Amino acid sequence: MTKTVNHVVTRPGRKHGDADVQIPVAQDLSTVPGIRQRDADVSFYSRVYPQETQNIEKAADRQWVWSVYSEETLIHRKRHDEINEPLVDAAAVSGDLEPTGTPTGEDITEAIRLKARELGFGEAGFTKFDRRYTYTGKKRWVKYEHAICLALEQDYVQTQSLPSMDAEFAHFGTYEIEGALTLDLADYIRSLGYYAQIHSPNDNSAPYIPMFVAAGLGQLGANGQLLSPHFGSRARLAIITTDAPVTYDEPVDYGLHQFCQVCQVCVNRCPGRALVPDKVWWRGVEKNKLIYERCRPVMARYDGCAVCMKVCPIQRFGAPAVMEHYVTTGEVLGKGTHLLEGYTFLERGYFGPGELPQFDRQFFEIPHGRNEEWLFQQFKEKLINEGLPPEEEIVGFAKQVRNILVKGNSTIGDE
Amino acid sequence: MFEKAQIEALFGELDREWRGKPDFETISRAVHLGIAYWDAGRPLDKIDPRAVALIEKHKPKA
Repeated sequence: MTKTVNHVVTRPGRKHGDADVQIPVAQDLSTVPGIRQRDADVSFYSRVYPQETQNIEKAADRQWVWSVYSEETLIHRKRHDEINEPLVDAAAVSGDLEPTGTPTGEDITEAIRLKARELGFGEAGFTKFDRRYTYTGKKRWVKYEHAICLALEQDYVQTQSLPSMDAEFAHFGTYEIEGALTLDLADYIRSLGYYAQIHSPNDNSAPYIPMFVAAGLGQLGANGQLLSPHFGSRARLAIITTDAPVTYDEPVDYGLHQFCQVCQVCVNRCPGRALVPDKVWWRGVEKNKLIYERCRPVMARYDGCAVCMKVCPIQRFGAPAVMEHYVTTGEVLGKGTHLLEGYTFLERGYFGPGELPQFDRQFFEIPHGRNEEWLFQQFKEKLINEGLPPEEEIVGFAKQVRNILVKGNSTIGDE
Repeated sequence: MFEKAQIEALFGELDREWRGKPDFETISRAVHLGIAYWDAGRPLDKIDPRAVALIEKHKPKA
């Protein structure tokens, strides 16, 4: 059934030098540019319930994952961390580096965008760094008000092998490349006479997706990931903030906000049943809110999982083809097929359309919250189940808590 | 609809014939899109002919 086209979005090609592409948005998929949100609610929640990075808020399970990683994952993660550490460290102090050139005062938006594309970033957009999203521990760290949103595409072929170590090599490898490229782009901005602060993808200052949506680089998918027009969620995100004179981009309605409600492939194929079909209002934004506790145990044990990335038609075929197909046929390209929906889950084997792996309740019982919170939780359960423990055990508990508090929290981590 | 075995056979051949060559990724993308179109009953006239050849060879028997 042919659909009426509401509007056509024109975007630059996937790679620098490629021709522009046209994305037809059907009338029944058209909603609002970017995402539906209640600005007053976003402000209220950021003030009363400010967010902190998951590397702190979820430190207990982030530590736990190392105990369930396969040997191969463990080796690769350690190697990756060694490569990545200097890049993350360099980003952390990048905002303090003095400009090397003389500013002209002219708007340099297009110069930065061109340089970003030449370096290999698939998407580059400009918006205000929305401090309402800044993580508590980073509030004093963020220096400049203009955000340059940068998406680096992950290898296509490797990504389609998800979940697999090959896809994990692409995942972590992309972070390593992106870390280096952001240093290059920041150097370029400094050469034009302005400051540039790198917000590493592995030491996030905020959830980055809202700013990418504001910059018109995509819309939030039902899988909780940024769906950009060319590569869907097959990208790794970083931000550079600057004091350079730039012009902000506008959010775009690619039709994806509503398309996810029609598609639902990621929701139906999620092995952990962590994705929800309906949108809810969460901190002032209308979104499909992922259930972290259903996702994490699967991710940790199955090569990063990411089935939600693999089965997204926007990721697999790109928005131009998917939206053209929807307008022409009224159908979701690939939905219900082995090509799009099938995946192999390590020793559990192959799961075709309509088939999902089963996990018992115990599988999902993992440490929750911050490290000290998890310790307290365990201590409370011990008190309830076994009564007052011996004094040396109480002292041991106190020492454990003290060690965590003295060590402090790290904001660094990979996702 | 392409079944698992047909998809694996097709991508196996793609891998053997094209991996390591400059157009491997381009053809891989085209094969994914082409199979999706074939499954949906759409024409393959806009798909890279090298991908179409693989799809025609491995497509489900009528």
